[in-house]
Amino acid sequence: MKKILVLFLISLTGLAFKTKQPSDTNSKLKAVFVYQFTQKIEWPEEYKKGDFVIGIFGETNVSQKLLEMCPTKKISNQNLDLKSITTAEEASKCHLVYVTESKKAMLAAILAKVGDKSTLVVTESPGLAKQGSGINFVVVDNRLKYELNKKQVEKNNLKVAVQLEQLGILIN
Amino acid sequence: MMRILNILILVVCFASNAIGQIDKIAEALFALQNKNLDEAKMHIDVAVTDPNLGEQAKTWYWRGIIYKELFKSASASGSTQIDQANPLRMESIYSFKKCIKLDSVQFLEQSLSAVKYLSATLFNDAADNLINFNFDNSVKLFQDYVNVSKDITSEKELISKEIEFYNFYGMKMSEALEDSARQVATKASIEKSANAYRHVLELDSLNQNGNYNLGILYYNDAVQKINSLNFNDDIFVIYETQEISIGLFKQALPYMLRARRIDPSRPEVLEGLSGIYFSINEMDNSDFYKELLNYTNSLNGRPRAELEVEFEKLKNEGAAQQKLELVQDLIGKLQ
Repeated sequence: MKKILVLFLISLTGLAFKTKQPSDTNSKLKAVFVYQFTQKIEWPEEYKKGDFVIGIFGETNVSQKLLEMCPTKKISNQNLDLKSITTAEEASKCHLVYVTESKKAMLAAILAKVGDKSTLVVTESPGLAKQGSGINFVVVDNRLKYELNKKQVEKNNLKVAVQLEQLGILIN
Repeated sequence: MMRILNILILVVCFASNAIGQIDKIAEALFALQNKNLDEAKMHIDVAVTDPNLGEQAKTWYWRGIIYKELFKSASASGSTQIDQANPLRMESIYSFKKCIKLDSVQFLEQSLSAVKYLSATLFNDAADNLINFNFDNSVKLFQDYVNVSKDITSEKELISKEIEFYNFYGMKMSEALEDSARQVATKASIEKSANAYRHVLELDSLNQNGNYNLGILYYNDAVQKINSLNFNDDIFVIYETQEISIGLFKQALPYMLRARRIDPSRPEVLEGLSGIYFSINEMDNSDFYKELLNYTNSLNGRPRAELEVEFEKLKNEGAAQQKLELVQDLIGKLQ
């Protein structure tokens, strides 16, 4: 009987399959923007001492992304104190307070507590800059942009760099 | 094997007319029998230059056998030694093909079987080189496989292997990009990976892996660009990076949508779509595909009868087309 050599071809079908990188790119973008806000806005002298406090109101990946990006945990010369907050009272003690979409109903209470203190209120829902937040993230043509309520920010005695003003959407 | 060779050597001696000719083939076979492959090669190479023996199928058949043994011996030292082993394999294939051309009856079955075996080793070595990120070698071996297989394999099967190879090539190329040292060593690039997938889609625009992989390649590239943003990057850089990434996410979308049309219930595709829409801030669409993903997972493992009831229920409810297609696809997969 003749011996027939048989060799099977390797099947690559099951191997040719690339998996998606899980990533929340929106939170990453918001975090780099937030960090830049801390660099392009000048707080009054009395706020340049002690820790730089960022309060996060609600659940978001932005805080995690901020920590990942900022390994030295410093904002300029101040130590970054990133904390989760639950009351409007706590918000008024922060340099910057980030109000998530799920907590937007708290904005009025937060603004009332902040008053003219130098707390920058950052939000992420349509129309909130008009309602008094200093900076509000919006989506325009699929892109994340920010609205700047200059009047409000100035009322909080915060100085905005020209570039931040030029690259944002101004809301009066 | 030894006994068969002894008999064959005798046959060669009796069947040949000229003593000189007997010597050349017989000596090659004696050397082969004694596992002295280099000597066997020397004798058989002389034999094929003989005007008489060079026109006989058996001479080429034995040359094919000797070169096949030489190839096996050389490749045993490592599949990446393509420069040493592959020319021997190609000579063996050439010899068997020449044998078939000269006599399509006597040695046909054995020669064809040997060519098929050797062509399979070409494909497998191409795959092995890809696994080890030896891209140039793998392409060369695959091209040899295609050239060798053209007249022994159907066009459909060859195209299918080409699709398989280039999908894997694209995947390994993008894998090489994940390690900077490997990226430099292999000269890997996103463009080369994308070209491989595009080649797959030229061969079959409805290839599921090709569409999915190209979509994921653009998606991962976009994610990578955003993830590499640094805390001290200026706002202008953030906007610029976002602009590039949105472009890539949008490039990924049509391929991922096509992958869904081909296989409406594949979880990775639904997850990919949800991720792409999320990244371009179309949250309603992102949530829709996330919901479809959860839905397909909840139907996993259900018997066909239950899925058919579910399908009817969805039809009556006027459910979204994508949802209907998903259930229909799951039913189809159970057939």
